[in-house]
Amino acid sequence: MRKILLIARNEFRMLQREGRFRVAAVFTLLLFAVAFATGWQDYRQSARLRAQAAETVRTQWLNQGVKHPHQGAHLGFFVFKEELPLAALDPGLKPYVGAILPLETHNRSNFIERPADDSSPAARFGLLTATAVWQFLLPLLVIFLLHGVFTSERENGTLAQLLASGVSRWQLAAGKLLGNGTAILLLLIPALVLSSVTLWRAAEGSAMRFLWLALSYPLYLLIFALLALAVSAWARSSQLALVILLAFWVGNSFLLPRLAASLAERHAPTPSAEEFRAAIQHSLNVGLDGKDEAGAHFKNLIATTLAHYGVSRIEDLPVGYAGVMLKDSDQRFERIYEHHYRQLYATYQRQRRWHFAASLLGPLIAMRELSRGLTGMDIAHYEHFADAAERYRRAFVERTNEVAEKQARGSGWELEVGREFWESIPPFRYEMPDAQWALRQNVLSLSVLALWLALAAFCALLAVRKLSLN
Amino acid sequence: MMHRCLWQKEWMLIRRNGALWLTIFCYLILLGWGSYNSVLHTRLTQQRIQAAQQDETERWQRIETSLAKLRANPGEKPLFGDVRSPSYVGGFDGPRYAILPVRELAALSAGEALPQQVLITTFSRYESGREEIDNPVNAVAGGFDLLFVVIFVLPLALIALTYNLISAEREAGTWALLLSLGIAPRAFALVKCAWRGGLLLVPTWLAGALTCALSNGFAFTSGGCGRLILWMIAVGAYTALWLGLAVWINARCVHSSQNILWLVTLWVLLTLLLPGLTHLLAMKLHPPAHHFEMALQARDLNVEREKKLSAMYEWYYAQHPEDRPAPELIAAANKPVPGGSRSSDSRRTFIPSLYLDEQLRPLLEQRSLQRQARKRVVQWCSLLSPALALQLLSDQLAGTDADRFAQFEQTVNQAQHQWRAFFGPHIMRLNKLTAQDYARIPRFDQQPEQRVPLGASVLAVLLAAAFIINVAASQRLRG
Repeated sequence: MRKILLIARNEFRMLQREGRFRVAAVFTLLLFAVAFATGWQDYRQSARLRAQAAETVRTQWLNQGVKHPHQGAHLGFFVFKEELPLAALDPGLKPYVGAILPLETHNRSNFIERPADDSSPAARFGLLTATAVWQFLLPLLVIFLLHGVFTSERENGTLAQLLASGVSRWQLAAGKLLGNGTAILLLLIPALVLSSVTLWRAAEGSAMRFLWLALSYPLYLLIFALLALAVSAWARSSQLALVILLAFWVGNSFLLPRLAASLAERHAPTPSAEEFRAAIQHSLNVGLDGKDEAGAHFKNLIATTLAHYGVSRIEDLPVGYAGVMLKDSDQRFERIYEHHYRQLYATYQRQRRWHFAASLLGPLIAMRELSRGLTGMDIAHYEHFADAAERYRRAFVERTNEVAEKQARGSGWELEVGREFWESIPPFRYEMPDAQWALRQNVLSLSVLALWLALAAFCALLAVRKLSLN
Repeated sequence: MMHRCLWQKEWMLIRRNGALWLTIFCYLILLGWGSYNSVLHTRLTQQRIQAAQQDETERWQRIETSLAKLRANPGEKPLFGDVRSPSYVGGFDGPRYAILPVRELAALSAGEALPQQVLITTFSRYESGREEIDNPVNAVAGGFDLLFVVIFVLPLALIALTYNLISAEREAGTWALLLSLGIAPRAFALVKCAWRGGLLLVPTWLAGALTCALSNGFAFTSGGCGRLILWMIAVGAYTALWLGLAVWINARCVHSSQNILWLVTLWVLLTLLLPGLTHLLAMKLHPPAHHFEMALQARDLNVEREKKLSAMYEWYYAQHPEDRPAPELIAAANKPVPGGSRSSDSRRTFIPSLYLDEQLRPLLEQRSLQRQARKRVVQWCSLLSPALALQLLSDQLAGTDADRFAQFEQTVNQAQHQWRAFFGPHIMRLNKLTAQDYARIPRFDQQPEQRVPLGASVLAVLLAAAFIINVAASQRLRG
């Protein structure tokens, strides 16, 4: 143990004296600080504007005046997906998913107002976020530090001397890993401390998520460190080790995610927004099976309603026909929208398989998924929110249709309700799922990362075991 | 004689270098995949435009069929979807598309990737079609197209082929020998760069030309050929720039490993960090107008709607008194339809859309100005990042740049103005459409586009950067 610590201290001291490492370290920390500060500012502004907007929406709902309840259902609500303060570290899918989800009758919307639609041409190069520094730049630094761990000793002729001095190859490997790893952790730790101090004050229930995030990134970097150790032990020269590791880094960081996305789109294409809307409109016109034409459907509804109540005119109905029609119409809409949205989510699921397959070739995809999941900005969280919003939408629409049916007579359009009714519809309350739920959604990503860690450790053990002096 | 010998010897060395061929092979695979995706993306854009036009044709055929039925049964009153209603034709089943044609070189860059077919309706464009449903996971990952390969992968492949251009000779102990034979370092570096750069650049040029040809059916105009040549020059300059950097680093450092470290660091800086910081700067200097404001303003029109409707009607009729309908028409339109809708007064849906667009106009103009300002920031910063410069130029040559889409936006606004100018008076007068009206419904045939000057400045930046780097590199080598 003493030898390991001695080697580690030596490595660390050499790095401290290394001007380039100091420059790289300062630069990385500065980049993180800029990215985090920007992310934090965005989070705070979003939170403030969301709170203001939610209050405005509720006020608009309550002050909409006296009108038919169906008109109120058309006003509906806007709901805004909650963000954890952790979104300052990793905004995840936020730039490409809208900020607002409109809820109204006859219509199930998707999120609107995507930040990416109001961006800059440079956004296509990728967004510089705090976790992007950890995902891309720190592994590169690990590679720069560790690629020559054994090869440089071999090239300088000092490897034989070290091993001859009584240090075993395992002790040498462990010492080198510890020394260089400490240097990398020293870059990560200030960043984690800065973010935890800032986020802690704002955090509610996200402490566990932050802890998992704080644990997972060092393990992600450990994968690269072990791989670098393995390649360095195996390669004939520093140059070859560096080339191999850089090729892996480029493939992992830039090629695989895009390759996965393009393969996913090729094999399970997402329809365009126009195609999706056109398909829904077609189903609304002729029914899901093509045999339920809208005009005929509503004519039939009149006939069955009149027959049910034993009257011959809509004006003679003991209930509001508007409510009956709206209830039937909304149920029809909901079946159709449910069908099309399930198909859309199934497409996303099929695409996810390609991303999962690609993550077996490089750990970044899994790390990214896990990171987004822990900050609450992945697709699972958005779907969870959208499902909760849809349940709320159906509930308030059903309430308005009930009132339109039960409290009216005849055609039912004369009914008017006021503030008392609007107040009886409670505001939308959403509870963000906890860290355990987030981890359950990311079991695959966790498994892939664990697999990579095991593989990297195995490669390192094997390579160090076969370490040659020449 | 010496130079010819250099060329031949270099080719012999390259032939025997397995690692070099492996790199070129990997690059070609990625280039092929990127080109394939570009062709597919462009064809998909073309198919979507055709599908939109087909959809418009089918809807109008349905309208004509319904009209024929109504003419045969004049007494029939459809509960929903009356094709004699200007609101229904102008807002639901009759809207037409404004199309932005796909240019010949569109496959070179997906660019802004905005829809090139926009439905013109009587409704507010702000309210309709704001949703996008593409998988955000794919959007965040980014596209794997030809431009991605050229901007990101080509420099890496060049680094892989040139990082040890001179350092390999130094490490093998043959550099001094070469110099003693009277070989000029510059000539030596030039031959190596020419071979290695050429082995990557020529396939890239061919891929660009083939990709464009496949996506537009091998139909090129002289303008298209000219743009393609410009693109090739730009990519050539980009390649020369990276070759120059490789020579400069080789002249500066002794060891090949150090060269790789420096070159990859430069790649990270120029291709990732600078564009990323540019984006942050552009968004900080010209932050987007917050989206909630517009959405809430749109929603506000529905609060105390009846009161606001009266005010909106007065606002319209003050400007168009000739469109005010008779009171008996208003009363008839607001009578609930038994078994149908609460009211057939389509002014109730039309006027809020018109009014909303009027209210949102300053915000939308501000949004457009901010977008332009952000684009200018990016253009300035492209002086520092050749990757950004090449992207901006490629977008412009492909016709997928922000300026072209901004022009299209204006065309669409004008088209909607025309559409509303036709249907608005009919709706506000509570008229039905007559047979003569259908013949006069506007169509949006292709509007001529304004010629936008090409990104000559961007090309000049690339060429200048390549020149400066290469001069600096050769000066360093001479020393």
